[in-house]
Amino acid sequence: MTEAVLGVLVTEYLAMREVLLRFLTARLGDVAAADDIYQELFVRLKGGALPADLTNPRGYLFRMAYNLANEFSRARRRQDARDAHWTETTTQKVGTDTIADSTAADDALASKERLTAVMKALDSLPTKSREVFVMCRVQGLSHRQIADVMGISTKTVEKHMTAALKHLTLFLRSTEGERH
Amino acid sequence: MSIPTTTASETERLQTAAGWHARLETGADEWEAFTVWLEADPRNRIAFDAVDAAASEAVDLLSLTAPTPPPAARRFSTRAFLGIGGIAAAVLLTIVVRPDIFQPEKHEILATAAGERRDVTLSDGSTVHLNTNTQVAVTMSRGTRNVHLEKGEALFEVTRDPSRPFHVAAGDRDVRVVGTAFNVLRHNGRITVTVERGTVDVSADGVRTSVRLGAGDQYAAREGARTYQVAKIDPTIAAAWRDGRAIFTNATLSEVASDLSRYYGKPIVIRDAEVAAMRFSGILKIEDQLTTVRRLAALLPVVVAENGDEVRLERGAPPSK
Repeated sequence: MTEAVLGVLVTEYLAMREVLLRFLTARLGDVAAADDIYQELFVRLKGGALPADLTNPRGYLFRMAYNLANEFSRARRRQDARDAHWTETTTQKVGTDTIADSTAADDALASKERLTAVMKALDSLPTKSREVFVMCRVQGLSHRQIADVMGISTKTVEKHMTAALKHLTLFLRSTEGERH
Repeated sequence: MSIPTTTASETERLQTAAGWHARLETGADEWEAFTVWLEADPRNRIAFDAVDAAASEAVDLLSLTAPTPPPAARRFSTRAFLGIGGIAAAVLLTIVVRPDIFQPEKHEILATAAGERRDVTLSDGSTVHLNTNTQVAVTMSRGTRNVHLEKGEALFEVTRDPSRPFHVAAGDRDVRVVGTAFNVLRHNGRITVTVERGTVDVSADGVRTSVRLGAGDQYAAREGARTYQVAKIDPTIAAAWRDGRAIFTNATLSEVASDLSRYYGKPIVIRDAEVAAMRFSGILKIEDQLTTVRRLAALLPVVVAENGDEVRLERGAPPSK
């Protein structure tokens, strides 16, 4: 049964090459990275567990591509931050020479500061938005399920979720601004 | 020290990006429209990245919220356990122990009572989190690490050691691990394996092929049956018990009652078929039995009745909103 599902997905994967590459390029702003992820998608298809029944192979592949692209983008961002942080804090200039400085404590401090910032960002969310964010992203409930639990409409759940995301992003952006 | 100013149009852009993130993360199938939005302006991608980064950092932080570290689990020596444990222990030991004259093995039995939760660090550095009413037997030797989940539910965080595979046996299913975190539940003749990180292979006794699971995969099978299902789920749901919570998504009330009964001495009983078939989605904090059951009842048109032997859910007034 799983074999049949894999067959369907591989056929769809090949047929969707162009549309997936277009999506990934738009998502990452990088043709080479898009190509890498399109390849990686195949590896994951072959290696991972597959759903027993598949109603929407196209959506399934899009979602896999979306998740991989997000992972890639986060890793790229972390790497950039590390590189910037590294040259900023781990070297100092003596005359014209750049010399290395001790690092571990600085790194730990920076990541602790970051955690504090994220914590503050979460604390500053309005209660309803925070609840929706936690139920959805940490506990994995769907908007429908959250709507049922909270006794509100899915449209309102989506509104709270969007507000939470926007708030977190703006809050963290402002603390980043302070640091540089 | 300049705080970057976010202009009105940038705020709108962020709003749109946040909206996309809100919808796509919960299953919206709007990929073409999303592509078109990304292509419209390269700043859209940057805004979406900022939202995604903020969301994932917040989720990482929230997922870190560790449960209060409980004292080390009771450890019974094998002999002491045979003394008190009787037949169950004898059966279990014949399954798990493979005497090897050349390699000294280390056995231990870890157990929790109803309502109890414990974390145990094994000699290889792996951690076992035991949920309520659970019993596992651990056998460490130089070549393998074996754990038998006799009953209940446990979450494993396995230290990587490719030379010494880590096996978890539950009923007639075997889970083989290299280094990962995953949850195994054996309850009411069903075995459920949920992978949080890494990869595991699951096989049934007497079946040569195994199923490979990655992060977010949940494997479910009935003991004795060859068939199984694999679904994608958020593994934090299966691990919620570590924080003292139970999460249900569209479960029947009889499933909820059966799952909650694991935590308490008294069973939660439903006699009314209509009540048993009601659906429930939500999060319940595991507290004392009556508090937890009442909290559940408050969300549904049911009432709680109790006597010395059982807690009953019966049809009642609909909840007032």
